Amino acid sequence: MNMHGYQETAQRTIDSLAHDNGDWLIEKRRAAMERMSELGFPHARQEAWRYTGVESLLQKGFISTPSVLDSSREIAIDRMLEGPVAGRLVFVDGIYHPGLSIGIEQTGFRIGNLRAAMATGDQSVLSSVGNLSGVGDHAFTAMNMATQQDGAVIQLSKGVVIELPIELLHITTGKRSGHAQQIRHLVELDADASVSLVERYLSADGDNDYFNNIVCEINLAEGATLTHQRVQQESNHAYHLCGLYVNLGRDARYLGVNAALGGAWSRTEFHHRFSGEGAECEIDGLYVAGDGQLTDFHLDVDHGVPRCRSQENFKGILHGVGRAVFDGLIRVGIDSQKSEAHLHNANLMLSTKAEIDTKPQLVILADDVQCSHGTSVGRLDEQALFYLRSRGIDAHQARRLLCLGFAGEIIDKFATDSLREEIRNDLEQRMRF
Amino acid sequence: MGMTDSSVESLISTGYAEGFVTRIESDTLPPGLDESVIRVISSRKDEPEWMLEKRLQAYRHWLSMQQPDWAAIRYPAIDFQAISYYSSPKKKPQLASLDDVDPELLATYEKLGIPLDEQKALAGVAVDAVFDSVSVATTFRETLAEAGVIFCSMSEAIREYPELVQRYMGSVVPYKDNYFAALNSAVFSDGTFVYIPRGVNCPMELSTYFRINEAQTGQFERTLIVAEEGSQVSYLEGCTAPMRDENQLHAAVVELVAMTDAKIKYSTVQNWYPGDSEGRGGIYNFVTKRGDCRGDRSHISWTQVETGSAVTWKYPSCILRGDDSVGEFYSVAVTKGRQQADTGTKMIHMGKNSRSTIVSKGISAMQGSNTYRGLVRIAAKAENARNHTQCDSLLIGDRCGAHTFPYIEVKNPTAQVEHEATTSKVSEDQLFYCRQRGLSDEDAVSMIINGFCKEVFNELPMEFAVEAQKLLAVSLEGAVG
Repeated sequence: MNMHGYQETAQRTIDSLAHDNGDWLIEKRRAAMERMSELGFPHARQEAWRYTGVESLLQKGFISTPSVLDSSREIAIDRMLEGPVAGRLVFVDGIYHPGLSIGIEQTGFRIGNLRAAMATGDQSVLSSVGNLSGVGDHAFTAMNMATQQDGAVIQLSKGVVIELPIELLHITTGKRSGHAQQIRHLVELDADASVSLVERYLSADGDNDYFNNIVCEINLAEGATLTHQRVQQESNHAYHLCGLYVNLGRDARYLGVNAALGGAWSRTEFHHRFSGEGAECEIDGLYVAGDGQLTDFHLDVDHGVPRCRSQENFKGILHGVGRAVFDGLIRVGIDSQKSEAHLHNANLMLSTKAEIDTKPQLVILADDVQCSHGTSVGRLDEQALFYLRSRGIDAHQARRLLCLGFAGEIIDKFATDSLREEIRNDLEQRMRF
Repeated sequence: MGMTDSSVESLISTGYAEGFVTRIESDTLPPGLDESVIRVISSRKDEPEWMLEKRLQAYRHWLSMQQPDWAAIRYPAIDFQAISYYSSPKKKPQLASLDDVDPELLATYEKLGIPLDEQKALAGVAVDAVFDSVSVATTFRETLAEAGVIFCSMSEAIREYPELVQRYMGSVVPYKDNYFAALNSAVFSDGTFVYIPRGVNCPMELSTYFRINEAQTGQFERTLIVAEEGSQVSYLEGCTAPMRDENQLHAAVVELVAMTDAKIKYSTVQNWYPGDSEGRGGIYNFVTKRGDCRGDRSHISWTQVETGSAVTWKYPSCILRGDDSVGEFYSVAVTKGRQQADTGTKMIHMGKNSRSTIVSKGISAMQGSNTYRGLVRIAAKAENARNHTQCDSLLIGDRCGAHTFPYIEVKNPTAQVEHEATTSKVSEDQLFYCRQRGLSDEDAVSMIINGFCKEVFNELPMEFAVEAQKLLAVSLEGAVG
């Protein structure tokens, strides 16, 4: 579909939403739709999209019509997180499912959804929409702003600490084949608040092709801490684009760990901004790409103020005809003295048809800093394989053990036990161990 | 740092030591560029028809190209019509001996500490000195001729060895390659041609000293080095330039061809005029350097010490076509004042077991901006390719910048590729340790920086290592001490 087609679809969506929800977001939507053609779709001549084509995504022409919740459909409840949770937000085909969710609204603590806020015109939520992301820097983020349907709203007041995790579960059913889902999450932690978030994307069946276009805005005030576990297990035909916009206030902490296992085409963009001194961010990630898969991680960590620390560690496994792209940009601004940033990216290539394009970047404008990045690409260590085989482990098992060991460093960062198990199982299944 | 502001101030204000202008009458074309200018350049140099055709072809293509804007450098737009494209010293001496060379010119070299005659005797280095655009002094031609080595100016090569020039020129850097390579292919003034026949180990280090000396004259050098099967050569290139106001464009092209088992070592010390403290008037250095390892086990090594120029845009690269071929890149780049450098390398692995090493050391001081930009590409057929990249940046002063942009593209699972980069300032611990042992601030910083660059200096030929250290010391005198 061309730009005109997308804008027309967006216009129809906006019109129907205006009819349903009143005018609460209409101005932001209209402005974003206008900006779509100005920003344009990404293309290979743009540095950030050098290795990641969007041609196949545009050819698919996914339509973002507002989806209607089919509450009668039984969703696989067994995919939910084991163990107790503080709250659960289940989105089926991009729409909040109250029957499966546990929402909470009490003083100082809200776990709800965006659509409900839009319906009631809740300004405590709606006024924050787009504050961190704006319309974004390409047509897809603008499209999300224009036609956003639903998403999570998590707001914690000053000093609220929640020990149990909050689960965000996205399930796409076969009904949405050929469709796009515009999802927007809003996470706001006031000073010294702390919470752990588990965000997952699943497909109800393996052949489903759809487009999840996600924008996630996270604002961490002074001293707030967010632990963010993200797992992408879309179907192998799905398209998944996620832009995370994170603002870290003074002494705030963001601890993120990611696993990208599914999708025909998936891209995650991290836009982390330090806006207060002493803040810390740690982002880890694991990506696995096999036949017909392209996985892309883009990091943009902006040390705009002094005395912040960031650490990024991403590992990738490429097998079959899999492709991965990694772009890790760390920026240290002109007055950001005493910044510390370390980025590492390691890639394991298991097949002759696989490809990895990795590009760590450092842009440093202050002198009193400690910054480093490292990248490596290699295959399994022959000596380690030989060692295992000499101990009576067959070649297949030996490779499996070494791959799991390589991925293990990241998988072990997931604090939730059942999640580690789930990722390991999914990894083994996808790699046909 | 423990130094007082005043001592830093006084050191920063140190001028450009090599800044003086030699008065030699020149035969210079008026500024401007069109086909007629290219025809004039070609006819002044008595070039054959095919060379003129090549130039015109390149010029026509250049007209259709856009100036690249992707590098992390900022400079005012270049007015290509304001540049004069040809300049040659009027008194063109015969090249029989040094006595025939203009004494004033020789004195220039004396001031720079490059006494041709002494060097001849001392180090066994043959010097083909390029003064502006035309070679005016060539030494040791006879010794080299005995070995069968051709070492001459490009214009001479075009006349004397047309078949070699036609076969190799533009085969590594085609005229369509990039904007500045196209410009160079159209208007190149002169340069050096080296041909090492099969099995010959060049009996001496070859060296060219460049010197831009004609105000508002672009310098478009063209260098071509061909090493036939089993041969070896080490080539040294160095340059200094006098102080002036107008920005000068320097767009050189260097092509290296290494056949089976051949080895080429190319070393550069670059010290063009960097501009004044406000960044006015420095040289724009837009260079395309590329080596082609055409045979099995061929080896190309680039070593560069970049301390000059207002703007440097330079990526000496290796195409590792042959099996077991080796590419190396060792670089020290210093930017101070308002200097900007966007430099690095490309290693394109195509042959099996090809190996490459990249060591890049960037030093930024004052408002200098230093960028490493490199590409390591492992093609699907390059079995067991190996690359290791180390790029470190040292920051001196809170207004400088250091950027690192490595691109790594791997299409073969047997490849082993590593990239490491660090950015930091001179460590307080190291300074404290040195001071505690009685070293002054200046000596301590100088020692730490020399240690930082040692890996690269070790790769330079003896003759050059001394000059490189001297240059670094001069550059750092202006910045820290």
